[in-house]
Amino acid sequence: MTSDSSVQTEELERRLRGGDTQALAELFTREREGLWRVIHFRLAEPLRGRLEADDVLQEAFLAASQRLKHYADSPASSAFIWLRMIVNQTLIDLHREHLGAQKRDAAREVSLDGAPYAQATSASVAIQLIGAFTSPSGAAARADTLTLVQSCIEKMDPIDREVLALRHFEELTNSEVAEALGIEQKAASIRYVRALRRLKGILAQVPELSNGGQGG
Amino acid sequence: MGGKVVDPNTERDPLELLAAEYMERLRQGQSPSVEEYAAQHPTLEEEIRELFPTIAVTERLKARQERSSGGLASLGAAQLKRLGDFRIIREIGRGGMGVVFEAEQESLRRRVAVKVLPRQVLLDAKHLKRFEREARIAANLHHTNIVEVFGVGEQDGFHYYVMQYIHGVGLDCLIPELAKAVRNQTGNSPPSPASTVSNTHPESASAAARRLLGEDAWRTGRLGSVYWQAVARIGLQAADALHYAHSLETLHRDIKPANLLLDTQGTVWLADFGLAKAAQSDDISLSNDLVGTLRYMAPEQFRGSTDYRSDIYSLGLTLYELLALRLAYEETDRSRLIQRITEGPPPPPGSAERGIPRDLETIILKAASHDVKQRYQSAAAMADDLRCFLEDRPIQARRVGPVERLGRWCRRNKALAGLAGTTLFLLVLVAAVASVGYLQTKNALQGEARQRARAEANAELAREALDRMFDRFSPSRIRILPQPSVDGAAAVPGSPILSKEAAALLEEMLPFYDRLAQQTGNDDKLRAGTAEANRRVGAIRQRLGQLDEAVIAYRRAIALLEELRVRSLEDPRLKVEVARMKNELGRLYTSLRKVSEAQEAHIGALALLEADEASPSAPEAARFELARTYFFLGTQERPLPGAAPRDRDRQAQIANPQRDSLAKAVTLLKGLSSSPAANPEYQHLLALCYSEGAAVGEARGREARSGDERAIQILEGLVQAYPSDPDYAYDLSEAYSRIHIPRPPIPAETQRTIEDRFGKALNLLETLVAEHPDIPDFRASEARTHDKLGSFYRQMERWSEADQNFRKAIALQSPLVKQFPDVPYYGLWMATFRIAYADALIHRDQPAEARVVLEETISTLLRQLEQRPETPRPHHLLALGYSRLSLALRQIGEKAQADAAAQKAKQEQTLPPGHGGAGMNECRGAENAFCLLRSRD
Repeated sequence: MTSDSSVQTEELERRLRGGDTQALAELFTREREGLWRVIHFRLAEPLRGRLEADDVLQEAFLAASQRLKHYADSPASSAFIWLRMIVNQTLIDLHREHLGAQKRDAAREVSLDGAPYAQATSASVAIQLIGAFTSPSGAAARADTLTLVQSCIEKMDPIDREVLALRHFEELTNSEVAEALGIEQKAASIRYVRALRRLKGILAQVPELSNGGQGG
Repeated sequence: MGGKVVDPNTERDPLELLAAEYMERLRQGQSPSVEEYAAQHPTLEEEIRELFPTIAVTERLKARQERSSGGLASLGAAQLKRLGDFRIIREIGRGGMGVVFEAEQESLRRRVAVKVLPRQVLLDAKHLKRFEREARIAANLHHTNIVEVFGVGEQDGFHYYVMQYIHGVGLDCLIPELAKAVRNQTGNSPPSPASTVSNTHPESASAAARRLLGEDAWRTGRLGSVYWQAVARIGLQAADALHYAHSLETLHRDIKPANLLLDTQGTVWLADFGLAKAAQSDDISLSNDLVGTLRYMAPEQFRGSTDYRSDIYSLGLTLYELLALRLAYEETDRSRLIQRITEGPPPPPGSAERGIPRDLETIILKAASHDVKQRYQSAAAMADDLRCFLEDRPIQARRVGPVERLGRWCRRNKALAGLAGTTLFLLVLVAAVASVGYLQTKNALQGEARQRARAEANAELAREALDRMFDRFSPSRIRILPQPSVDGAAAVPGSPILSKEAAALLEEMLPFYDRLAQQTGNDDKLRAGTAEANRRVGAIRQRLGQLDEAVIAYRRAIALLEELRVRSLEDPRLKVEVARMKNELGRLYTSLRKVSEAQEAHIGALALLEADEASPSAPEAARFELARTYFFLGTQERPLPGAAPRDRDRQAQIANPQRDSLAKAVTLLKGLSSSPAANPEYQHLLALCYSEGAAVGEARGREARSGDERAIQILEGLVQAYPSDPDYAYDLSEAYSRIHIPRPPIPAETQRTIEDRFGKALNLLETLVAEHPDIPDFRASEARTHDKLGSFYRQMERWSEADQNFRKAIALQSPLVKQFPDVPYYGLWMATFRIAYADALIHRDQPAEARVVLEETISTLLRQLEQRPETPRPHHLLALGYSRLSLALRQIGEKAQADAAAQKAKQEQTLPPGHGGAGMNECRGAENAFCLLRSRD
């Protein structure tokens, strides 16, 4: 991010804290790609194809404008992290609505620094890694691999896993990760390297993946 | 993001800091090297080697996943075995709106067809309700020619539609079979019907085609009354069914060959009533499959209005294809297709050769009329006429003659309505006089003098009328500069138009001209007229892209003129005329890439005019023609893309005579355009000379740039003064995009200038292509400009932009390749674009896709070479293709195949060059590709 755009972002945040809805719309447009990634990454597989990322974004925008005053009164985080949190909440609501409570148990969601994060991260990470991968042996093999990768990821330290997911799949920076998870930058940094090492071990168990990735 | 913590970076894990940078570069589409990082950070060397590949793999998998989820509608990985009461037996077909299965309804033990919609189609409650409502309405239709709808259902997010199972074949499968049978004539023995028709297997399209054609036509490939009657019966049943549905106020909205099923009894079934509306949703409009539906949509539907007459249109268009055995609108590109449909009716189905009954054609053209009011106003009326045809009674529909067609055309093009009166008059005159004149001329050849004089007068009248029409409808210069008006007055250039209507009119004029052009006789005046007619035939052929025929006509015109000139004791006007014809022939050869023939023609023109060079008193027309001749001679030969690069010394040597030639043209033109009332064409040609000079002198950087800037300055002035003249806009766009792209690193300011120039060029070209869709040069130029811009982005490693531009180039080029198979140039550029695109794919980690593109490109190149053995082998293009292929294969892990491709690449490079004297200046596509080759391998 160039200094130019960070100046603009700061200006936008300032206006946002003044309760400016226009600034919210501008910020939303600016951060659209990042927010889309959140949705794309977090959307549970049964909902893919039924819910479009754009629809979720729209809902999230409505939610954000309703809560803008609250944010303006007591801004607890940077605007992007706040928006991200709203998108996450919108997603959770939509998951509940579409899949019912039994599919994604609220009790399984861990709360980190006020923002709820689903343990479903493991499933999402697995889908990101295996999702588009089509092996010759077809759908059955894909399902097996998915389960394998998911269970491996599930065994990781929950915060390490979250750091990994945020860095790669939501494309957050180290400082954004730290802010989103409420940890120190140093900790986020160390956790990332540790998680990466674990991921390397997991990927090594899926021979097709490491082969497919070595080219170029 | 504006961090609130005071520089926390010092606390971060140094490896994580590097990883962050590495990740960022991957996301920007670069291919950072792990080894480089390892070398630059020796303390972290081991960890970098250990972990960075994992980062790369993760990022790549993520990118792939994100891409695939944004794709087209499909049933995804789901394998359907059962949907509620329905046991899936097999897949029957796939359409834009879903997958159709044959299934058994177990409770009722009946065979049904189930159409399963992709999940994306019914996104929300609103769509779902509409789908259910439409299905209910369709279920209320009970007609012998409408596929019965039993109901709808949902399972696992898949919505489905249960209908009657028809043992038959869709017309979309049938039409290609019919076309094949007609094309093949007697050659191949068709499969026997016994082996293909059975009760358990689907009715084969080929067997259905055979039944429809009748044994005679199947054997001979000649369509006869059996077939025309069959088409009429299909139309009649469908029109009856439509009438029934319309009487219940139900529209079909998606009539097309795929939705007309023909069963083994010869009964037609209309399928998918109302489904188009039910599944209407914004996002599927992006699907390519929908083009199959767009093709049959009525023009008014694109403007958002649909009524029962739109169904009649779609049925008419479907029947049109049964008559013509080809698509009514050939366009494959979505936006161009829409443009064509909304622009005007399809060309006539070609009744002459096929023996299509006039009445049947009339009925179908009326149904498919572009204008809603001209159509049958009810399906019943259409059915009535078809019944009359089948019973051999007179039909109600009236045929639209050329006069009425012209009248309609004028109504559609209000801006030109002022011309309508004269034009209409001219066309009638031509039609009447030309045929009479021809007959009389023929008689006159053996007849008496008085008769001959009358014949001449008539022929001349006809020719004049034709010429005026021609000038009105096709003043397009197609890169050929017109002569200035003879009296020296500044002629304001007309706007070249070669719209579809103009092309159709030119086609209609051609036979008249042809008749005039074939007149022979001793009379000089007649001969001059014949020469002129030949020139026009050539010009029309050229504008229609029939280049070989154009050459023949031009040559005939030159021969006649030369003969006249000799007899007229070197009439100076005839001299200029001959020179002009020779130059036009030269340009034509140039566009056929026949370099030496082109050169010869221009030198012939030069020999005629050279004497006028020194004398400023020579007529303007002669001096301008001379300037044109110098310009053409100074235009460097444009080698085929893929030609061998020439070494610098030779290039410099060859460039000199060209520069001299251009300098002479510039001197002449400066003299000519000094008068205030000068023809703007002088300025125009002057600008072109500057541009060309710039291209020749490319090695000498500063001079080149100033030539281009001078050209841009002149052209910007011309575009401003004559905004409706496409040639000026075109040449300006060419001048913009000729900008020199330096080797990287390119300073930011230069980058901006380059992008700005390309932006301006593309702006102009987009407008030109939209306004003149039938002028191939505009389209070709837009394609090349996208390719150049793509190459620029490639140098910048902005892969997604590069990829986008290459794709755009390919999309623009592909109709050209189809339309002008005789112009190898288009095919070679296409190959250049596709290889560049494949290269971008390789960089974007899609080696499998790149492989497909490359294999197809190479095989197309080789096939073209086989078909036209006289064209030089594009070694470098092939070498490039193979080397990229080898790279892609290596990435996929096909080592052996990769080595084989690399071997072939090497072979192509060592084979003797196919043609000498080919320069590289013009083939920047290939040149850039070479830079790339060098930098990557």
